[in-house]
Amino acid sequence: MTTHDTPAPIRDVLLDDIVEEIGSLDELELDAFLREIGEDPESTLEQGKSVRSRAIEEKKKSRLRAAQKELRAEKGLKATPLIAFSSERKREIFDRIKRHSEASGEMTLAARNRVIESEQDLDSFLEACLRLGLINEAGELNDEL
Amino acid sequence: MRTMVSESETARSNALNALDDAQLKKLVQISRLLAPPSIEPSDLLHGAYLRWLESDKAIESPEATYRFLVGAMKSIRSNTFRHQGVVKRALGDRIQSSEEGGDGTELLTATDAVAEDSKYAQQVFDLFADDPEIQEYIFMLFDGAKRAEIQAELGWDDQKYQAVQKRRNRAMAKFISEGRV
Repeated sequence: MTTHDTPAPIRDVLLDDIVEEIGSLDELELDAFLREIGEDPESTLEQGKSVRSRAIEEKKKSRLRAAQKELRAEKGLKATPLIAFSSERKREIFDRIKRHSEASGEMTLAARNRVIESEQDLDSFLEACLRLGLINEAGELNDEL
Repeated sequence: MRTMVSESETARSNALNALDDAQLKKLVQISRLLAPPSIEPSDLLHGAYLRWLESDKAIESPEATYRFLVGAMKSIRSNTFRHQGVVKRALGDRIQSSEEGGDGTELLTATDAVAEDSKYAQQVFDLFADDPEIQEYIFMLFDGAKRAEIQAELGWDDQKYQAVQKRRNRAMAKFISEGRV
């Protein structure tokens, strides 16, 4: 059995006293204290700055990861039904949107002239139409409902 | 909503960046003193910083942030020891139930805690073999005596008490730094 399994009260009493004393020192006294116990004040400071930066950086990264995850989940939820359609079904929806936009003149020229060269282009286009509210998640034109 | 959270996190990071050099050095030294054997001091301090960044404690002043971080290190330390105690008890229980006639030496009970305390006090007492005043002081502390009782018993005035306490603190910090206790 080691001596470290449970913090013994006497140990806590002694440590609390040192922590309290350290807290009461000004910087010059603190540097003297550190030197007296064999620690270097400068490297102690550098270590403090480095650990602080690491913690702030880690927190930022974890927030970024959470935001990316949330965005992916959000995007995935909305995109999945359209992406899961067959190519024929997606092409059919695309043609219907194009016909509708030409007839109504609702879409911008850029959108009407958009070139769909791959299934990925088609997915992006349908995704944009879904976000604009032109179609619903089942691929139906909202104006026709 | 996301923007609000982000602003709050920025404010919490700024509060950490507002700590002055003396406070940073104090936090590092305190982490060296408080780190349990299973945790690196820098990881203990890192854990305290993360607690601050994730907490909803109002941001008041660098001094208040400093106090929060010291409290967080004490809390992590205490949780670590508590966790180790639970694991040890569970292991001890398994040893007892799986081995007939097991002597239960792995069990961490209240009796063990008292024994640990005595052992630690003895270890510290021995380290101060060349300073009888500190030995007397530690002996009385181990007995649960408070400052007034110690001063009365040993006939020390405030100045004397503080001088011995200061000497003891520095020597203890050095022993810990050298891994002797």
